Amino acid sequence: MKLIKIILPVLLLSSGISAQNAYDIVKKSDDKLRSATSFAKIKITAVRPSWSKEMIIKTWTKNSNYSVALVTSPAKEKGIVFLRRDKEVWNYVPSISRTIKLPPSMMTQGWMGTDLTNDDMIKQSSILVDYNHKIAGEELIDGYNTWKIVLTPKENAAVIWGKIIMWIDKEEYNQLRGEYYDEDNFLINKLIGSNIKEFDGRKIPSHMEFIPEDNPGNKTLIDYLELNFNTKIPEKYFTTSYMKRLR
Amino acid sequence: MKKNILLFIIFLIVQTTTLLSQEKKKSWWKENTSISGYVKYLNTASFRDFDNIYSDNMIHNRINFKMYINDNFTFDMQIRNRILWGESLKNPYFKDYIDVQNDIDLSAFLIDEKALLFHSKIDRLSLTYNTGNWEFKIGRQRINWGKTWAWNANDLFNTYNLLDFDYEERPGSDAISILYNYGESSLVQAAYSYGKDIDHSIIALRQQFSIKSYDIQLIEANYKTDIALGLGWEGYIKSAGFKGESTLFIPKDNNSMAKTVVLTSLSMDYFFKNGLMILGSVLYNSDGITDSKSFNIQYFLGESLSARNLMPNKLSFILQNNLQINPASSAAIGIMYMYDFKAVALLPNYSYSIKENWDIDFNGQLFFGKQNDKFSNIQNALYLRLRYSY
Repeated sequence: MKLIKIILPVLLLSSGISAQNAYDIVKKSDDKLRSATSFAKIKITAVRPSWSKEMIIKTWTKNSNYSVALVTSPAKEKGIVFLRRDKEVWNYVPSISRTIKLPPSMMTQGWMGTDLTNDDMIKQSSILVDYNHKIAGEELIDGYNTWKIVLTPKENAAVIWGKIIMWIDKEEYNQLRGEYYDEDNFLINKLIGSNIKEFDGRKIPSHMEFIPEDNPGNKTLIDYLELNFNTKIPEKYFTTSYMKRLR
Repeated sequence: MKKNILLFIIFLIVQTTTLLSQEKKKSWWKENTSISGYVKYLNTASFRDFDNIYSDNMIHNRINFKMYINDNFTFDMQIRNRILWGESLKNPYFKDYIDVQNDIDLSAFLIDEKALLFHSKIDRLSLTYNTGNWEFKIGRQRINWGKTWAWNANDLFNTYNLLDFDYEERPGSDAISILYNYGESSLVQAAYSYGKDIDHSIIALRQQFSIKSYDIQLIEANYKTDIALGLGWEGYIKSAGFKGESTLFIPKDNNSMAKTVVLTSLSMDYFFKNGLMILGSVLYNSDGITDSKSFNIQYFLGESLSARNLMPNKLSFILQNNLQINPASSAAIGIMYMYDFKAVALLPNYSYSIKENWDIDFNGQLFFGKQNDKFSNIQNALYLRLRYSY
């Protein structure tokens, strides 16, 4: 009885400290980039030791299970569209006027030759559904107080990462750092978020770097050129028949 | 006359683009039109042995012009220009091979010299009207009903030679298409491709719908002298793509020599994490030749294919490995095997992106087969291609 009197405040206290549980933090951070609908214009740069390649895409998303991406530059890839509806993905190739259904294995490939996988590009929401979340500490990054959160995959979850560590700032819930490990606990990718800007009333990192650990000198940069939340997007944008008309 | 019209159209596009881009209307024009395309230089070296190498050259330009007239109307015009010189011009049939016609002729030789040809063709010229779930499209267009990799028995309007890798856009057909979309990926489409009479025309109906993760299409058509019934699908088995197409061609005239034919192709594709992609496909042609003695290299190179006869033999296979080495370079090797002829084509490729909008690639087509009862190399072609995209 005496013991419970000692332990109870500790229990309450500890739950008080993490009034924000890890899941909520990750969710808030994830939600920050999401809304019922969103539109973004993004510049993706693949950097290699001797050269780099730039690509500009427009994306429209809805409720995190529908998204569509249109490549607007470079000229050779212009007009290519990717559509995701839940777990199904289609690819429209304008030069042959054909929509091709892509197999699930395609999702683990590099996105149009960058360090990002297709999963990274269009299926991010699985970080909430497919992982367990735990606060592992607090750290100061670029002058921001952050939570360090460890994500481990749930049993039988079809995910590509064995472990993810995220640093999420306490004020704005932005993910400022990320580390992505494989099943054998080897660090595969690093993520650095910086250059926080306000888009449509939300402060978020406008510049992100994905750095593969095993290829020195390689990295993929993502810059948000435009970003709008809760804009009205017609339902038809997320249908296979509209892919050829998207612009 | 035709030549002048073509020249005039090209001139007009270039003019209006440069003029209007300076005018006040600039913003409308900029917002609602687009010009894209490429200029490619292709060098071909054909040889059977190294003593006789034939060299051909082509400068290949494509202009894609699109105008979004308003929310409903879209105008699309695409022009293919080719300047050719080299060994092949000595062949008296080469001009026919270059100037493959639709029934409505929108092409011309702008330069027609012994040693130099300049051929221009409008291979897309269409007006599209979209309203609600409907789409009406009239004019020269590509109607692509293919589902599998490599061989497309369902693609009634635009069959092509698998080995003609430099013309992925394909000629297009003069057609009217009416399409009604419903649901997330379901549609009904009716299409008519112009021919001088019903036995030269294609009138086809297509229904597309989904069952679980499979997109399925059914086709019923008057395909020239046949009635065609088709089934096609795209789906997956575990994480590998699984696609198929089958078309049954039944001659309308019972008394004709033509037989009922079925063409079926199946294909699988799988993407590995390391950037490797594997594609495999098999084609069965019930009317195919099985006599290995009748093999002729022209079967590989023939141009006049139809959906009814994608390969001359009964059973063909293709296996292709593509490896994305890094964002700038990729390599591929394809192996095509004609079972009935015991003939093989090796198709290596290497592509490199020199810098933004500049690409270079090397392609090979090496053919092996039985000749005088000996399996040997029969013909080869190597291609070097430089591409600038705009």
